[in-house]
Parts: sequence; C-alpha cells; structure tokens
Amino acid sequence: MMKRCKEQGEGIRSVAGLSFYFAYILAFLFEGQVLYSLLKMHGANVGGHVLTSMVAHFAGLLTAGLIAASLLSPRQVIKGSMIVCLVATLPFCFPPTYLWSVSLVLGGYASGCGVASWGYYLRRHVPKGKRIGACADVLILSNVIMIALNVVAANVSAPLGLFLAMLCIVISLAFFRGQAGSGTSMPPSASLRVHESTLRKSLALLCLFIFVITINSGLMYQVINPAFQHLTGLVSWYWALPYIVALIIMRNLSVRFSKAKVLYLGMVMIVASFIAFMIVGRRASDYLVVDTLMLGACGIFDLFWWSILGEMLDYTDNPVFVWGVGLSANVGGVLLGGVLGTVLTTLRIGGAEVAVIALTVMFLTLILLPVLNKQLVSLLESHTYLMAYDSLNRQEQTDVLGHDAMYVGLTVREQEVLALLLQGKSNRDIAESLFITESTVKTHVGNILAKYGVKSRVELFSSMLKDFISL
Amino acid sequence: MRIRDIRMRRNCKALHLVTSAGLALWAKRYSSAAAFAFCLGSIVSLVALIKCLVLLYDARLIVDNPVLTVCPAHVYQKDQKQCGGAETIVVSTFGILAGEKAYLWGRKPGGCRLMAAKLEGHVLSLVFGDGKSTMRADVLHGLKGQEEVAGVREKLWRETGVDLTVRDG
Repeated sequence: MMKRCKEQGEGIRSVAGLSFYFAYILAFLFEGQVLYSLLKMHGANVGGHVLTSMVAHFAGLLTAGLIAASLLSPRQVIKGSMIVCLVATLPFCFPPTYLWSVSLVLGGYASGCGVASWGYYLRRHVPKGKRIGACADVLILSNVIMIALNVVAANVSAPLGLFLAMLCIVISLAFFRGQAGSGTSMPPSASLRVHESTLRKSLALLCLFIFVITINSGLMYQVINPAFQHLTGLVSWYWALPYIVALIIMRNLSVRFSKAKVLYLGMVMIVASFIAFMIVGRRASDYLVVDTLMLGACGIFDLFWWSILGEMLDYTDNPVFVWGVGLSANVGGVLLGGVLGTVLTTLRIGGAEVAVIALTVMFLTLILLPVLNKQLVSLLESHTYLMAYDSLNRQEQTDVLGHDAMYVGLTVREQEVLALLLQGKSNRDIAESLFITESTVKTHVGNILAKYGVKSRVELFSSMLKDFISL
Repeated sequence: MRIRDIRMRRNCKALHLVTSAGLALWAKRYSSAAAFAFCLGSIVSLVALIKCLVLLYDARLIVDNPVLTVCPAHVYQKDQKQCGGAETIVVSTFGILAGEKAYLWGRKPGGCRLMAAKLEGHVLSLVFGDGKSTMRADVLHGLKGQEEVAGVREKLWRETGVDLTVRDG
C-alpha cells in the first residue's frame, strides 16, 4: 500500500514536472509565442530562428535514446537538459547577437533529450492502464500554462513572458528533484520481450503515421496562422483552447467507446478545417471555426500517439529511445509541413491549393491507418498470449503442448525452437540459445508456421493457446 | 566446392554485372546497338548473379547445419589429417551440398523433404522428394564404429525427424 502510494506520488510529480517543462518548450523554443514576440520586438529574423530551434529539438528527440543507453541516466539527462535550457534562455534577456542562434540550438537539442527521457519516468512510475491519463494530464496542463505565457508575452510584455517561462523550468526542476531514475536501462516488464522486429515494425509504422498526419500541423502554422495574425489578442488565448477541450473529452471517454471512431472524427475535422479556411473570410468568427476544427483534431491525434507510445514502452529496454523516436516523427512532420507551407506562401498559392494538399495528406493517412491498426493489434495480441503462457506453471505449459496434435508432427529441433518462441524470444535470441545461425532459425520458424497452417507468430500463439488460456 | 569458392563466383558475377551496366551506359552515347548488347549482357549477368546468390544462401544453410561431412580423400602431414583437396560433401538438416550442386529438403512442408535414410555397409543412402518425384543420393559415409553411426543417427532424427535404418552390408 505504502509502495503504491509512493509510486503514485512519483507519477504525479513526474507529470507535473514535465508539464511545466513542456509549457516552457511550447511557449518558447517550439514555435512559441514568447519567442515570436521577442524576435518581433527586436526586429530579428523570425523564420530562421524558429527553424533552427525546431531542427535542434528534432535532433535531440531522435538521439536521446543513444545518450540514455550509453552515457547518462534518464534522470541526469532530464535534469541536465533543464539546466542547459535555463542557461540557453539567458541571452534572450539581452539584445540579439549570434548567441541567440547558439542558444536556440543548445536549448532545442537539450529540450528534445529532456522530453524523450520522460519516457523512462512514464514507464517506471505510471502503471500501464493509467498512461493515457498521464499523457492527457501533461498535454492539458502544459497547454494551459502555455496559454498563460502566450497571453503575457503577446499582450503585456515579451521579456515578462520570457521570465515566466524560465520560472517554469525552475518549478519543473523542483518537481524532478529527488525523483528516482538512476538506472540507465530497464528490462521489459514481466521479463517478456515481444519480438524486436515486431516492435520495430510497429514503431516505424506509427512514426510514419504521425509524420504524415502532422504535415498538416506544419501547414497550419505556416499558412493558416499567418492569415489570422491580425487577431493577435484572440489568437494568443483561444489558439490552444479547442486542443485542451479535445484532450479533456478524450481523457474521460468511457473504455467501451471506440477510439478508432474518434480518430476518424479527427480526420474529418482536419479536412473540414482546411475546407473552411478555403471558404470563409478572415474575421474573428471565421478564426474560431477553423481553429476549433484544426486544434480539436490535433488534440485527438496527439493523445492517440502519446498513449500508443506509452503502451509500447513496456516492450523495450530503452523507453527513452521509443518515446524520443515517436515524438521526433511528430516534430519531423511539423517541420516538413512548415517547409511546405513556407514554399506555398512564397509562391502565393491560395487556400484552395492548400486544402488540396491537406486532403492528399489525409488520404495517405486513411491508407496507413488500417495497416497501423493491424500491426499494433498484432503486437498487443502477441504480448497478451505470451504473458498468459508465461503465467502458467511448468506442468500446465507441458499440458498445453501435449494436447496439441500438431506439436507431435514437429521435429525435435522444431520443438526446441517453438518452446523458445513461446518465451517471446527473437530469432537472434533463439539462435544464440541453440547455437545455430539466425537464417537457420528463420527456416525452422517458417516450417513451424507452415505445419500449423498459419502465416504469423500471433496466429500461431492464438492457434496453440486459445483453447487453454482465457484472455 | 567450398563456400569460399561460391563467394568468389558471386563476386565475379557482381563485377561482371557492374561492368556490363557501366559499359551499357557508356556505349549509349556512341552506339545504340552496342548499348543494347551490353544491356542484354547485364541482364544475363544479373540472372547469373541471382542464381549464385541463391546457391550461396542454400549452401550456407546446408553448411551451417551439418549432420555428416564426408571428405573423399584424407592427406596426413605430421600426423595431422587434412581433407585432400577434393570436394567435401555435406549432409545437412536442409539438404546435401556436393560440389556446386545443392539438393535441398525440409525448407517447407509440402515441398521437398527427406523421406528415408539407410546405412548399408559403407554407403549412406538418402531418399528425398516431394511425393511426386524422388531422388536418391548415395554417399560413402566414412563412418568408423558404432559410436559414430549412433551419433549421426541421433542427429538425423533430431534435425529431420527421419530415422536412420542401419543394415550390415
């Protein structure tokens, strides 16, 4: 009981800590209003600085897993990144010099590493069923704080907004002070590793999905937002509101409610927002319509992939890598969308063409979604069956195999390979255990699948275990 | 033929392919007919390379999973036994490799499989096929003593599920 309360407390602290840190990133480093206001105040090059920061952030997310695996612990990475961000923000208290660019590179990279490292805390301190709630809480809280910072920066004073952003880092550091997390790696939960190739495929597919769909976010930043920039006051506080509302609704959806339907609703909302942008004017009421549709959809998708990534953390011994790579796909998509939007703006291409591009992106997403769904279901089903088999005692496991008519038709070597497959081992692990080559293992696995008349390991597990294990 | 030799053949064919493709691109500037000829040569090289790659993969699979390795001649130097330079024959979980020929089995159910194995005197006979047609390979096994025979028998059973029938010949 005491241990559970302690874990819950650690979970809440890590959520609160990341919320303040993320708010700083959203308000400043990552195309934030605070950064925009400061750059405009000093007449500096907005586009170049923003792009620099985003590219550095992308690089940080992508490489954090390597740092966490070999050099520093996740705790050291996240706290170090906050200190670097704090120091990197100081030059912005003074007029612009080359230090601004250097600081954005350092701060962007460090913040990317810091956000990626939170994957470790999410895995360690938040139980699997509660991760979607934790992710929603971080996104909601960070956006609420970001709105406050944006309002101050846009309507009161940019330097004051900067000071408050720095205060957010200090508060975040206080939350992470004393947090556990000195280990550099973590074994997969329940001592079971889902096949690495399955995890890699699922992660790659999810990243592709995220990348494609966030191209629209980038388009939004470069095409839609500038069209309404004359509504500074409204934009500064309303911009993220539909995003927060969507997150709150998604967070509190009943478990029985089909989340797949919500995803399709999100796609419809994005399409509708671009069509609306094409048709409506540039008044405040028009902005409310376009922004509500677009940011509401963004909220749905952001929580979707944050929660999927959160589930995947159990299948790896480097959660920083999985979390970082997944979120880097998000940033990558925004970057590409931003570049695309800049090109369209330079070429003075109108709303209709932008809507067509957005629709094309949505079409690609629709193709990807069933494939992604199948791969993720395969990953989760595979894990579920293997977990259930692992929970049986040795005699029960022997009975499962003994009652299987097809098992008798396997050669001794094939039976050995099957036993290791049921332990969730990858081809490489099986090869090492049996002192044979990986291509030999692949051949044996192919023979086993063919003898059972199935096409994949998940179908194999299902065929062997479904009569014995109730899920 | 050894794996090393197959690899060398593969490298030669790859070099041949690259050369033909390069010559085809170069000749395009001067003569269409020459370019076409080199192109055809590239295609032939590509097919040959693919066949060699498949042979290399199969040979690797056979050599990595040996049940019995037969060396037709042994040369002794200072009491150290060496294979006499003639081609080694490898009997494996997944087939036989004899020279540059690989006879495969056990790659997929319904395909070619090892049906029977019989040891009579100095000869090991292996019958394999897919049910429609069969082949038989007779190998001079060179096994000495019941212990070695038992070892091969156990390995064959374990890897292929086929029991070795032993008859005194």
